[in-house]
Amino acid sequence: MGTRKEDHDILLVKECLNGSQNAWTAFYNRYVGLVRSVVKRHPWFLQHEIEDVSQSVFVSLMPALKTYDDAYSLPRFVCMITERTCIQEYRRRKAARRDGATEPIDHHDISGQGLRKIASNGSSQEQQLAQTQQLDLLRRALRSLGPRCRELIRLRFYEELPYNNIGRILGGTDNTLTVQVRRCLDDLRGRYKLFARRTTGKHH
Amino acid sequence: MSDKITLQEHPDGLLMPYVEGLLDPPVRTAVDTHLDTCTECAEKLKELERLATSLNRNRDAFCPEPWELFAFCEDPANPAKGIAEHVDQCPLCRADAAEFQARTREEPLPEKVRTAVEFHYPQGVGEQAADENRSGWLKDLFAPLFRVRAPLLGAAMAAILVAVIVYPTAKLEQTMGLSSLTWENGKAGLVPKSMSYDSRPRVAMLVMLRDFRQPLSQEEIDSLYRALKPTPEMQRSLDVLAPAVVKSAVGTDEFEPNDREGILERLDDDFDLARLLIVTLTGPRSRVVIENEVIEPKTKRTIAKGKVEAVSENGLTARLRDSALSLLKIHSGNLP
Repeated sequence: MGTRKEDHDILLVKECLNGSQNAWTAFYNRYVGLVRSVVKRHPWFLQHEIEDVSQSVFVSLMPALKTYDDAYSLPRFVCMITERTCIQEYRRRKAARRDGATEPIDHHDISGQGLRKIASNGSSQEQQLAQTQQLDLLRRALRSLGPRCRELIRLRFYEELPYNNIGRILGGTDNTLTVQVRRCLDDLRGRYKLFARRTTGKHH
Repeated sequence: MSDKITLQEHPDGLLMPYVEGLLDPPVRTAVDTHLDTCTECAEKLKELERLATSLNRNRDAFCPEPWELFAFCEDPANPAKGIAEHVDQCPLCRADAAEFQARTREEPLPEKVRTAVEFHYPQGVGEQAADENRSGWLKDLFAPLFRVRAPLLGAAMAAILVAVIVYPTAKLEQTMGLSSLTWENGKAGLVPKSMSYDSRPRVAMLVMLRDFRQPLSQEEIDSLYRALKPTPEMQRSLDVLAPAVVKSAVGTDEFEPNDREGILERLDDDFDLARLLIVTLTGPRSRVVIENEVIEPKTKRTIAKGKVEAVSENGLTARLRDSALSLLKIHSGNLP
């Protein structure tokens, strides 16, 4: 038996596939925030493009929802389709910009959505795509680590705690923790390379 | 005395402190000397530096996946994953979480999305007019998920009453169909809830029939009730009243079929119901519409609705069972 939310999701998908406008309205309102948050993580979309791309995601979801099974949660499925749509929209818009006259623009938008680099001309966008993919690989590699390694690396590189503070949280001397961090980084590097090999060529 | 240190082996254990700037100067100098002549260690050092730099620059890599953050906002009961702490520290995730939690009102579909729905599901367009007069049941279904939720029920238990009303001739009038069917645990003389040791929430189901030119026979009504018999799993957590029990309460001339309020009050008074499921079947027989409505009798509030259209007579009992019991299960899962 699934959780209550999973049951809700199954019911909602059923109603959407029955073509209920009410169901699609509920679906849209439930997930538009999530879709927008994923779209915003792609730095090559201009601020005014985010809403249009988000709506394109829901258009993509209409045929895609027929393939949904409960292998993944519905929010995760929505994110997968959003990622796919973002790549498609990136290619489409890149082709359109290449064909149009553009001035190179390259500046930072530090509006309420946080630091984002606004898309610039074609070559920078390719770099941004590569950086985004590298970030995704790094995130996946981090998440695949064992819990202690993940926590060690988080405390050291995200919270930037000194080793004696980390020792108070996780236990261990400075020397021991240094050795452990080194091993965890070696592990992380191996996983990163593994994920990179698996995804080579996927987005081309 | 000289402070010069000479390394005899590859300083593998010193590379990380080297990257992090934690070595004492003499030791660092010794490592530098070694690196000048050892390409293997120099390469390892470069890799460590690249990785450490990447971690320092890509703080987003530590953010939870968007769907994890979304799930956290729905149910923040996962301290073990550290998402709550991360949201406290990460302005981007905090902004995303705020947006997830801020969406409590229903907005209409944007034109682009609405047009796509009409294109992909042309058969669904017709329901729009009918739906305009309904309450936003799907909104009610999902809106509370991002708010602090009050308990669905108070201390009271609810019951879902199933009554089937047969509608003989008058168009769009409803009739209640009642049945003397008892399920395995049906109790003819029901013990009032206050005197019962049964702590399960009490639920009943009511089926209304509309616009059946050829009225349903008693045998057909009984078959609908059989289809609605709860599964053993449901019966473990819910006290579902048998149709005979419902008939004993409302099977008099006292109630008009459309006297919904009166029926609700009687059932709640007699049985202290937690939930009432009204199942309305609208003819003709060849294309029955099943409409399920879950009501909280104490407040008379509709908790949820569902609709299945164009059900053939042959598939009616199966679709009825599937749609009604799933809705009942969903909206009875958290009853105390």
